[in-house]
Amino acid sequence: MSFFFSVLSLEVIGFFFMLMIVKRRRYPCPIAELASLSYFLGMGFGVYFLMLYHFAGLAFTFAHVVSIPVVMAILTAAYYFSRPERGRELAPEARWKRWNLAEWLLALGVLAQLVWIVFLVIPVPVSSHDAVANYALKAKIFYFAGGIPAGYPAWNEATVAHPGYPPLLPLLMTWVYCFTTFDDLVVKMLMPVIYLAFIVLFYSQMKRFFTRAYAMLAVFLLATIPQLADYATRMYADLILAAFITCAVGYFMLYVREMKSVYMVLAALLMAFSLWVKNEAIVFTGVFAICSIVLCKKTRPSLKQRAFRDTVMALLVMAAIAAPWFFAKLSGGHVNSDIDLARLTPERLWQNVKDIPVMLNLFQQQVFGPKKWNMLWVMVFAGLIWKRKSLWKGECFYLTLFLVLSIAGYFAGYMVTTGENLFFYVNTTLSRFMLHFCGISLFLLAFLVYDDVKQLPSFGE
Amino acid sequence: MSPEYIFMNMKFGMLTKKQLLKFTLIVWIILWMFFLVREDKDGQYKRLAYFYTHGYGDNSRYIMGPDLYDFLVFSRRNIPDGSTYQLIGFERFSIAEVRARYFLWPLRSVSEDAEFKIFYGGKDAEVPGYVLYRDYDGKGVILVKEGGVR
Repeated sequence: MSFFFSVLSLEVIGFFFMLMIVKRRRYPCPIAELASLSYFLGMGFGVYFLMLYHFAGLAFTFAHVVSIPVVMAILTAAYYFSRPERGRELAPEARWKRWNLAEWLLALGVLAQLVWIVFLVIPVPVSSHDAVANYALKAKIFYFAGGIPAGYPAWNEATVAHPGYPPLLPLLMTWVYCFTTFDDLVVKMLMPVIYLAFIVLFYSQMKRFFTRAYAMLAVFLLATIPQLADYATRMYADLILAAFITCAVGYFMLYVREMKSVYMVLAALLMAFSLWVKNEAIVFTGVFAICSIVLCKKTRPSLKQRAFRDTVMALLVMAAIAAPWFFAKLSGGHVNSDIDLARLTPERLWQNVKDIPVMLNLFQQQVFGPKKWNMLWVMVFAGLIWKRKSLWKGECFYLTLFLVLSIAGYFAGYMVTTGENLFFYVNTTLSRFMLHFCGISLFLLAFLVYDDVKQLPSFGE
Repeated sequence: MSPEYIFMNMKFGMLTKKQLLKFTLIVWIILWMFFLVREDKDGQYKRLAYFYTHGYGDNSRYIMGPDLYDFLVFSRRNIPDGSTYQLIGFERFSIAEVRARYFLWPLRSVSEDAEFKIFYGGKDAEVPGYVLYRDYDGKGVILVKEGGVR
């Protein structure tokens, strides 16, 4: 029950942002989208507030933590109760179209996958290597210390692994512990909740582009990717990063289509919070900024000014959200032990270049191996080849650009690794890194083959 | 014949688009169900059955292995909160070492000048400047800095 309240508290924070700052009249999205998006924003802002507490010297106690959502809930309730007619904004959409058989079957498939994930998560405490070393230990430290301990950034690896690693997941776990007390069994339920929020938000975005059945098909494919489902059972940050990035790109694509400022703000927020999740998010946020600038250049002259204004606003939002974490990181003087440009010699770079065939070999094993990806990458590559002429046209242009630049960024990251050899890094990270791209790739595939699939009776208008 | 009809029946190699989509979906679902229920690791279901029928402590013991878990419980009980220690007898950054550090917190692992040395699997451990503090049935010992906590 306490876990439920911890999740609810994050929802309340997200709701507050969506209802009181974005406001329903600016963005009247369906309730499912509101709830799932609120959860992501709640996670982001919740962790953001914990970092501000740390700067202010306030302890991470239940009273301090719960005061944020309680104040927000009171303000939101006051807003709606002061003028009851505002309550109509929250009413669900009146029209409910019956689902066809394909939609029911696909929804049942997603539900079966979710139940299976919960079944696997319930009895097992946090135990896998990175989950313990990188996240659970930090959360335990923060919880028992009542905050981020003094001198923590300077602690060496014998005490805690990578103290300069983005703190969203450990702080999120600490948030839950403030409600549940220390319980590393129940805290694992965060992952199925994040998985659920991700697929609901992905579905909501797909439904804005495509028919409901087609959106359901895409969600079924996403939700049943073995690697994605597997990461919903472990306390790793990769699923969270994939969720933030995919949904940010979804809002960016909605902005490309409709040019509504609110989409750009939501994309920027999700992108910015991803910087709190994993260092790899730096690549995605950089590419997001490039894509936004390209959009400004390519858009119609009548919309150029708006695109420019929204891009500037997005960059400011990202800077404001990322600032506390980067301030903490830079003031801690952390050095990345895997990529240290000061240690990158031409010999090391050449060695990495010579190891590219090793990387490609591991990559093809991932692409063609169904154990982790089912047929996802085979389908994506087949789609890319089949629809190669559409890749750089219309809306697909931005998705293709985003993917190409992000992959180039990851590739460059591999090339400048300075710790272990390249095989070690690729072997231990490739399948996780591919998880970051699977949602966006599915988005692109959905755009590419929509015209063909919608001709079929079950997936058409 | 309408353009839609022609489009729908356009050949894609040997298959129409409809057949291709059906085929892809069927293969996807078969693979999905296979990998969903197949044991990810040997003994996965046996482990799950154990986890569902036992409590938190037993499950942690099962995951870490009884020897390590019991020794860590012993260490945790005997070393005062907030003390620093060094783990010996573990491969550096191995899963066992990482789990041990996690389990032992709020005892703090340090790389040098620890108040305690925790030897897992060591009987006759001798370190200059440290003396025997506790012995766990020959399966491990805890040393304490000379003049430190007793």
